[in-house]
Amino acid sequence: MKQQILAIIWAQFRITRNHLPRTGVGGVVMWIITGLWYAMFVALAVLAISGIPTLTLELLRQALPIALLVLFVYNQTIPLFTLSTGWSLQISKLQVYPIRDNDLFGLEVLLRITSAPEFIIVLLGGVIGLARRPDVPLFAALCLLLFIPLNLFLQLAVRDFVIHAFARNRFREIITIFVVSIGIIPQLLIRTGLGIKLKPYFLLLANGAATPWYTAAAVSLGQFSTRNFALLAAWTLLAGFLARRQFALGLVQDDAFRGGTPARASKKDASFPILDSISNLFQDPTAAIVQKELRSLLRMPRFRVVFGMACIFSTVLFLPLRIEHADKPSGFLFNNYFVAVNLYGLLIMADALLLNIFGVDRSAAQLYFVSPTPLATVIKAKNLAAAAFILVQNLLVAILTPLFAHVSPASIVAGFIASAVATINLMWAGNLLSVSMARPIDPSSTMRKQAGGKVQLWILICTIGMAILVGFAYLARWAFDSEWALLAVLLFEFAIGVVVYRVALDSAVERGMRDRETMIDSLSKTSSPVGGSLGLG
Amino acid sequence: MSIADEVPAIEITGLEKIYHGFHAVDGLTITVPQRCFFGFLGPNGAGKTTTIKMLMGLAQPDAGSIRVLGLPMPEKSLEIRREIGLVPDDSLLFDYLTGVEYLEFVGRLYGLPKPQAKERGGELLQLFQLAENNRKLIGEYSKGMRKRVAMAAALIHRPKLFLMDEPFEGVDAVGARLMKDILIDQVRHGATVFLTSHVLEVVERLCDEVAIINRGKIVTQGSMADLRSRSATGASSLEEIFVNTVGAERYTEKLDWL
Repeated sequence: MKQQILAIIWAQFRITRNHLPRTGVGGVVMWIITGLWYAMFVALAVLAISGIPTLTLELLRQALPIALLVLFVYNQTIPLFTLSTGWSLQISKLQVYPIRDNDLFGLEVLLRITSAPEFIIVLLGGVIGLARRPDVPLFAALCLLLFIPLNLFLQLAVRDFVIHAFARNRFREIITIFVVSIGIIPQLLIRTGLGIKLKPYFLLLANGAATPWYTAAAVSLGQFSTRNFALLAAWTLLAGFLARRQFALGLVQDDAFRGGTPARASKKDASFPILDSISNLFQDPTAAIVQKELRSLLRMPRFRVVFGMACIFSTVLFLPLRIEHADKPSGFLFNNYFVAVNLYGLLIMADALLLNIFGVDRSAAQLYFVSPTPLATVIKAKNLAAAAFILVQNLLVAILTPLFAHVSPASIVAGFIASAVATINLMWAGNLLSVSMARPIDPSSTMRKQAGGKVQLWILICTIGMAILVGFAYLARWAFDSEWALLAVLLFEFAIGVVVYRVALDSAVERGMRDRETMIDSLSKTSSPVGGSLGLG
Repeated sequence: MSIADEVPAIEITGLEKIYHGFHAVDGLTITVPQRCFFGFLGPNGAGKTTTIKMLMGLAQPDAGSIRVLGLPMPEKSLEIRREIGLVPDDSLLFDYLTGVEYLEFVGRLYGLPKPQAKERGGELLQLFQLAENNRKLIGEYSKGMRKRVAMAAALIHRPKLFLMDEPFEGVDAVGARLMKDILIDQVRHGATVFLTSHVLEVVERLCDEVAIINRGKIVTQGSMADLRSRSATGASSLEEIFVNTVGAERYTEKLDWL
């Protein structure tokens, strides 16, 4: 058993190591960033080691539960992010090997340490800091380590719950959007003053006498009461029970042989019959390609997440800034909240819809080169499908934003036109990028993996270009102090964009036909686990 | 409890598995003797993979019993798993390990000492012509390479029974030839091979005995000679026997325009 534990820990280390770029500057940069990241937590641990002995016992009694609550929250949320990018060994795959289920569970709990080692680093700093105090017995300081099993158990329970939630369509998308949205919470708390408002509740929670962090803090400060130990044991047992239950559920549910289990027949196939009406607007093959694009994108978990984020995440992301400027109704963001949200949403979708239009077709992209459909028609049809999604996103954001902030009709009109300007310009740039730097996308993968450095650079250039174009219009409005100037410049830019689109389309077709072999080859490759696949935004 | 030499390698009796009211496996009974090359055939969705899952203890049967190398499954699943080399579809591979790391890892899970697991891993990688890609992650492997590394992992602990789900799928002719030679050699040295495959020519050439499953039930079983003699239409090739047995219809009778 010991050997198997060591083998799995070793494999976990290799997997983590192999996630990092292995050669060149990228590798060095990643190592430096990783080093800096952990150095930050080591510094926190050192701070705890040197700071705890200087505090009064009274202050420590107040501060320790708060610190433990913060660590608890960190430890429970960070693995949600790491889980989503695959930084963990899939224990369920080990079932075919001669290892007992109980041992697998033990190993899984142990592996949770690797999900957030920062938690352990800081906690160890706390233990040493407490041990350095003359008024805290060494045994009491060591009791702080009792907080670890509870956290590991709960982390495992949450992780397994989320993994199985991810396995379900639609629920997976909601969970992903929720997980990604966690990222805006600190900004929301700091910029809106919500943090100050919630502070009393947070302190109340931190000092809740029956909570695991409070009891762990009490025990580690030498308050050895039966009640404290019983409470801590009860919390740990409860977390252990939840973890074991989720784990057992996972062993049953995880389909190690994916193709083997007959899938439950879908109660209602999402065929989107409304899309048939596209045939009334366009002729085949354009209509067929647009319908295919819309259907496949709507069925794709990855795109549903992207689209959901473009509508919801972008709206919520700018909300703290909007609230912050609520007392200055003449502020730029106050007046242009809708435009900002709209354009940010477009950027989130741009990579999937505009900048890598053949990515989701992957190996099937060769069909476009062997079928009698001109490549120009294919590209235009794909652009039409993208425009439809962008229009729907614009409309949804136009409905959503007034729920959060006052939006003027002029701002809504400007938002739609700015979105059209950005779309047409990203479209022609994207068409060129799509044939020259085609990348495969895993349509079933919900979460983001980084695209290659060169591609990221081009995405950045396109983003800056879009910002400059829209910025010019606002510069005109400022210079002439007129909304008409803004609209005129936007319309002019749109017209220029249409002309450039036509020219760039010819170039994209020419390049696509010339480099089709390279393009098909790139798209046929399995998306690399170390970068190289399309991101969310 | 030790594994006796003279018991059947696999003994399945009245096995059933129901998914959401659908009988994936329906009263399956098979006996596979030791040192046998056994082909387990059937159309897509017939219940082959579900049967392998139950043989590995990964799925709980709803009825019936399984004995592998004389030991009851799932009661003795741990002892059984030690003796099995599994070549699954590629979902059991770890994409973020290199081939040599994966083989060492699997070897250690089967209880080989680390240096031995590493040494055997390296040798197997050489044997399967994957050594020159030793810095490549499995996630970057082609389908054929993934099958080869899975096969290498199944061999690393010298198992007594091989369970193989479409082992030759996506493998080139050279790789397939190598895999076949190794399997024949393993059977000669006392191992048993239980494989599913849609490449019927390979099954016909390799297997001592064949069972055909359709809609979860065994429809015919025996040696190639047995199957030929039982064929009502006088079919001689396994493909003809298979098609006649599972009742495929001719497309021209369905689509008169084609």
